[in-house]
Amino acid sequence: MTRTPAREHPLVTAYLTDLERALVAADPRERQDTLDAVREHLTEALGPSPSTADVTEVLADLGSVDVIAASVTPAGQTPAVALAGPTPVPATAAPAPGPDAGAVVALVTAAFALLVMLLAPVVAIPFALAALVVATLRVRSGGSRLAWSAVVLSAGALGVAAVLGLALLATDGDDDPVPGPVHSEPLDQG
Amino acid sequence: MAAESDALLTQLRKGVLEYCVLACLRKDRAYGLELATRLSRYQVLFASEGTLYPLLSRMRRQGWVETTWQESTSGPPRRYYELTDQGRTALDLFSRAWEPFRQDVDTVLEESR
Repeated sequence: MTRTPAREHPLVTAYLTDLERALVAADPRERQDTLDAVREHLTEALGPSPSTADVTEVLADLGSVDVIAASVTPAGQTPAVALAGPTPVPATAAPAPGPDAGAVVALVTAAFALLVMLLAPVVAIPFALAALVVATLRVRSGGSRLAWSAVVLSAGALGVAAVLGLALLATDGDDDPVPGPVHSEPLDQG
Repeated sequence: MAAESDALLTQLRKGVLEYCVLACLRKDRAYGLELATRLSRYQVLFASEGTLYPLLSRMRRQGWVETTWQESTSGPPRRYYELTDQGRTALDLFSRAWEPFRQDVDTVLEESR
């Protein structure tokens, strides 16, 4: 019987060519590692001059190239998450995150509070407070610039309310007599 | 029916086979053919020797195994696969989780009979 060096045996070269082709869409590093390791496996298993029967048996144990190709990670996927085999790629990409709804609501509420503050501060103050609370919560949970804007706007509205309140107190103070100092009885020391 | 059975086994092997490879390397390092021969004794678990190599590549990138080359007395140098500390930790975690997992599956199947 004619014996051919393992790597030159036509069945081996055909198998390796098929495997290279089958792994064309695989992760490049995994593809190269697999091809190298299969070549090493064949060299080791077949020895220097195997018979065709030996080659057939070893290739059968290795399995079809399609089965091997089905077990590799496709190019572009992260091998670490597909450790036991490739994970199917989702048909659609995850939707991009939309604007922060809580921050938007807080921003609109804060703007409303600021606008009506001069006309009806009693109505505006609860809105400003609510907006500040919501915006602060959004900021604390990794909020966007929108949430920060809502914080600034609602704080600004409350600042305006404070200024208005102080002005009102000052006006009231002009009308009413200033209360005299409160004298308290000295503490009985003894 | 055979195709369905193959598909089922493929699913079952996912998440398990790499730990079995780690277990085969727990006591001693091995080169590719040696490891494939060890695993091929478990025919339900291990479908074909060729699928071992993509798995080893992923495990190496995961940091679970490392490779070293060593001269062979009977041919070209051999690439030996060896557990890393990270691989050993992963195997320990799996071993601890596997027993209660297996028991639960057995119990569910038993109770449904």
